[in-house]
Amino acid sequence: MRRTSKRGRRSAPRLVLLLCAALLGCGTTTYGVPPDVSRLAALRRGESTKADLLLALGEPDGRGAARLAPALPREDVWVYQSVRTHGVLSVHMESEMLLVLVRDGRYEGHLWLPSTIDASLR
Amino acid sequence: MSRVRQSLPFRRAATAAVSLGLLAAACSGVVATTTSARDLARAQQELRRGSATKGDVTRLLGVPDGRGEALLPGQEGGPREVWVYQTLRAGPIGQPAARAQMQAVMVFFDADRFDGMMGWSSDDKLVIRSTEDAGSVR
Repeated sequence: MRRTSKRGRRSAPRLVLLLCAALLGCGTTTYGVPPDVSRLAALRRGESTKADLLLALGEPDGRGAARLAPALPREDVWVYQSVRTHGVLSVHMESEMLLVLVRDGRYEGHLWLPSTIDASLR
Repeated sequence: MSRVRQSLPFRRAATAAVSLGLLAAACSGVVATTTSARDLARAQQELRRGSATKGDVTRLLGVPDGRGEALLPGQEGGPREVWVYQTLRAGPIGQPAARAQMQAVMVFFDADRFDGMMGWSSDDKLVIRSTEDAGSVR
C-alpha cells in the first residue's frame, strides 16, 4: 500500500513537468534531412551526372518535371525537402526545399528555398 | 483508510484527465497563424524588374522568412539570391480535421535588383486530417 502511495506522489511532479513542457512548447517534429547545399558548389552545369548528384546530395525525396520557358527543353526535377517544427502553443517551423534541375541526365541548375516561420495560437 | 490511499492515484489521474480535457476544450476554435499573407498584387504592380531595390521589396513584402539561391537554365554566372516568404494559418486546433491557408512567395534578385517573383497561395479548402498512424495533408 505504501508503495502505491509513493508512486502516486512521484508521478504527480512528472505529470506537472510534462504539462509544463507541452505548454512551453517542447514538442519537436522532424521530417526529412536538410540537404547539404554546400556540396552544390562542386557540381558543374552540363557536366555533373546523376551519379555525381547522388554522391553529393543523396537520393532525392521526390522527382518531378519543369519547363521554365517555351524555348527551353523539359527538365527533370529532383526534390529534397525537410521540415522541423518545435513547440506546441507557439510553433517554430524551419523548412528547406532544394529543387535540382537535371537535363539529359546532367545537372543544369537548382533552386534552394529555406525559410523559418513562427506561428502562434490566436 | 486503505480505500482512501488506493484511490489517490486514481484521483490524480482523473484530475489530470479533466485538466487535459479543459485544455483541449480551451484550444478548440483557436488557430495557429504566422504574419498576415503578403499583398502580391500590389508587389507585382509596384516592383519594377531591374530597377526595384531590396529596400523596395522589404517595404512592400517585409523582411523575408528565408534567403536562398537560384541557378536557373539560361542564367549566366553563378547562383543568384532568392528571398522566401511564407505564411500559414491553420486550425481550429484540437479538431480532427483542421483547415489551412498557406502562401509562398519567392523573390529573385540579380545584382541586388529585383529580377522577378513567383508566388502562390491556397484557400481554406486544404484540410489537414489526423489519422491513427500519422498526420496527412490533403
